[in-house]
Amino acid sequence: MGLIARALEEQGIATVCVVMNRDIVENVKPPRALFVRFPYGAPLGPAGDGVTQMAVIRAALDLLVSATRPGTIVVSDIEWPE
Amino acid sequence: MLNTRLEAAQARIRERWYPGFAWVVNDAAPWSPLTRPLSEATVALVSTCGLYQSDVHVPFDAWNDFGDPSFRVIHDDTPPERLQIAHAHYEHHHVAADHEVALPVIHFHQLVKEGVVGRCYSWLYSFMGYLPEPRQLIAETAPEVARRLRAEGVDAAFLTPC
Repeated sequence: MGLIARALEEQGIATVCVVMNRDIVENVKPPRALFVRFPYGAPLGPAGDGVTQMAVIRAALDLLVSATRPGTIVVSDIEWPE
Repeated sequence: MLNTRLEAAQARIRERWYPGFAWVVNDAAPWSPLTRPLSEATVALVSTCGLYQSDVHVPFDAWNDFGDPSFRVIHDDTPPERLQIAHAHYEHHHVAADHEVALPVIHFHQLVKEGVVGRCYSWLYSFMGYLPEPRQLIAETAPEVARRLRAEGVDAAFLTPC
């Protein structure tokens, strides 16, 4: 997915990725990535949990607007609900 | 430089699925800052969760060891029951039960109503994220999506993996 973000960015489209694997992202280097400690298959949070999903989206959009350095990775403090 | 976790995963993927596999390592990231306020920007949703429209699309080639670099385009008013997942490398439970987990159309429409986002682009771009041979994605399919979105006036993209 970071590869797709890079292609979009090269055509002038600003991108933000939500990611679950920090190791891969540090190598692929998409322009902006929000690292969430969530399981594969649930990038924005659990099914049916609109509050968590929206919190991740808002955090990612904050990063889209505020990042100033290519390859920025922000670690999300949003926790997977028990 | 790969760490030990990625080295081990690379060896495993070479052994089990694709002998030519190598993690992509880039020295730097490209950069296109948002050129207008988010509240005036058109945002597109892109996901690699393998969603496709079952009454229109051929499914992704989920069991191909090389992966599938193609994409599907889904209108954002498509009824959820017409979307299926073709992706053999993650647990589908959350996305299958709630597409907002991967392609958050309803949430983005809410953000447009709130004035946080200017406009939500109506077409969703869907890929399948398992892709040990990414050359065609890098050279062809991802740039094709980028050109289409650019031509449609999209300012920004929100991307989710699975």
